[in-house]
Amino acid sequence: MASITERETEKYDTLHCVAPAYVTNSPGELFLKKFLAMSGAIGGTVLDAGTCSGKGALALKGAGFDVAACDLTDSGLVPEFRASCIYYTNRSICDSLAQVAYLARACDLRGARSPFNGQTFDYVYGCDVLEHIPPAQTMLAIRQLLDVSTKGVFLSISLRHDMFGVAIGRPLHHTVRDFAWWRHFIDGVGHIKECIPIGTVGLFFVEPRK
Amino acid sequence: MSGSSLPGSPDVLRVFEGVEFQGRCNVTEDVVLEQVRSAIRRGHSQVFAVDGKHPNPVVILGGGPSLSLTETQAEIRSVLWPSEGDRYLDEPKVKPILVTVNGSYHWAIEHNFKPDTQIVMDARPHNARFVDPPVPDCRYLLASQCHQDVWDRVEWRDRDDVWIFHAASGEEHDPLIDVLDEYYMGQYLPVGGGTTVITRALILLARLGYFRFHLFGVDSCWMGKTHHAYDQPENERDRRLPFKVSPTGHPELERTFWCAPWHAKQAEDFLQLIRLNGDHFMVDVHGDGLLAYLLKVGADAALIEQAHAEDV
Repeated sequence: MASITERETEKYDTLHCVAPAYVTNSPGELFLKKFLAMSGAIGGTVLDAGTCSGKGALALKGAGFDVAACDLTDSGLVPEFRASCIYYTNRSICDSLAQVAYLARACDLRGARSPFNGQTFDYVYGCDVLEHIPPAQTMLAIRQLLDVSTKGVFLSISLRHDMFGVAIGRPLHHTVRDFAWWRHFIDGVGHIKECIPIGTVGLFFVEPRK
Repeated sequence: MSGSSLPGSPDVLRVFEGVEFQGRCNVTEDVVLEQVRSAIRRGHSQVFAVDGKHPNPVVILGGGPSLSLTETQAEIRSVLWPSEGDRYLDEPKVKPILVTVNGSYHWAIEHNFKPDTQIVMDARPHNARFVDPPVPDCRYLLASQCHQDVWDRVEWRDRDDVWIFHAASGEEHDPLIDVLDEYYMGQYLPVGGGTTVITRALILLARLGYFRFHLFGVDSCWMGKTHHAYDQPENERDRRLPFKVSPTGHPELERTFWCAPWHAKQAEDFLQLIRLNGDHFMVDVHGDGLLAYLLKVGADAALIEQAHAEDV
């Protein structure tokens, strides 16, 4: 029997073929300014976790960050991302992301001058990812993100059901909860520096607990 | 008070002839904006408009002197706790809810009425006392312009019970708009209304889907020498002025009330609100205060004119 990761990977590979508009509508770069404002970040290393199209990673690179990216599958990556030098690997955020940090350093062509330390990133950027995780694994996923970030994790979480799952007859958003629910449980995993309910999306900047 | 933000042409908004009222916020714009910038960063859930309607009747308690009357309290009980045979009992999901504003929160608690929702809008620090003591399962709808002391008092309450709303008109000239647009990326609900919390509460609750309102203690006038049904030291120095009202063309219906300027402005705001939104909700103002009288004589005047028209 296929694992959850295998089933989800197959689901998104199918979705990207059947409904390419899903990638077009992927909001990766939409919350860049809020990430900058909430984190106070001025450069550094960022992992775009669950990058989907790669547009968020591209925007982060354009904002001066050193970026690595990961997702279940690379089938949604836009051509511009594929042409960029941003390190990418297939990885579920429910698994340890330490390997991603290691490989980002190891594969960085800048060699000794690489900003990646091989163990952590300054920030993790997770745009529209958490709601795709089954409820029982959401806080585990956030824990994995926090474990590889030294300064904090930015999350944008949709609070509504998805619109594209109908194209393949399967839901995309497994965890649809209100803002207060996410805030309550994320507060148990990390320190919420700031959180903003923006309509159908909740934004969170979470720092690792010391 | 806050600045009034009721849209509409001047003709629509002119509800009183021969007098003009101007509402002014009781703190400076800079203070309001500073307090908004602080409050929105506390991470509270925002109030948003809902689709659909709630059939639940809403009892809103103001702080007017009629609240202290025995018959008023009996009326409140009859609406909140309908007796056997009342149609509410046939609709178990249509339970009336009790909404308090400012000091009527304490009045309700002291008189064994449990508030379901408390609304606070004023930006001054003394309003912090209006969210204490905490009532289990009571929702606190607090304006983003409320002072930090108000927000500090609810900081450790169940986050599901504290919600933030924005007393903003949504119009371009409103300075709050820039602050809210930038922070919430345009995703917020501006709650318009008049200069006092009562009219804003009506708009806010209407956006939440409620449309049946019973107002108690919303008198907009003194009764005798009493301005509130409880101690309200902030209003002890209010000016007390005679306010004669009658429908246009019906001097026989004239009556004199004693009002502070804010009472009169609230009455104007309320009538404007009814004129602009009267198709969207039903309001029953109980008691014998200025507001109840204005609605009653407006209806009486209409009946008189209709009777005359039928006689002709």
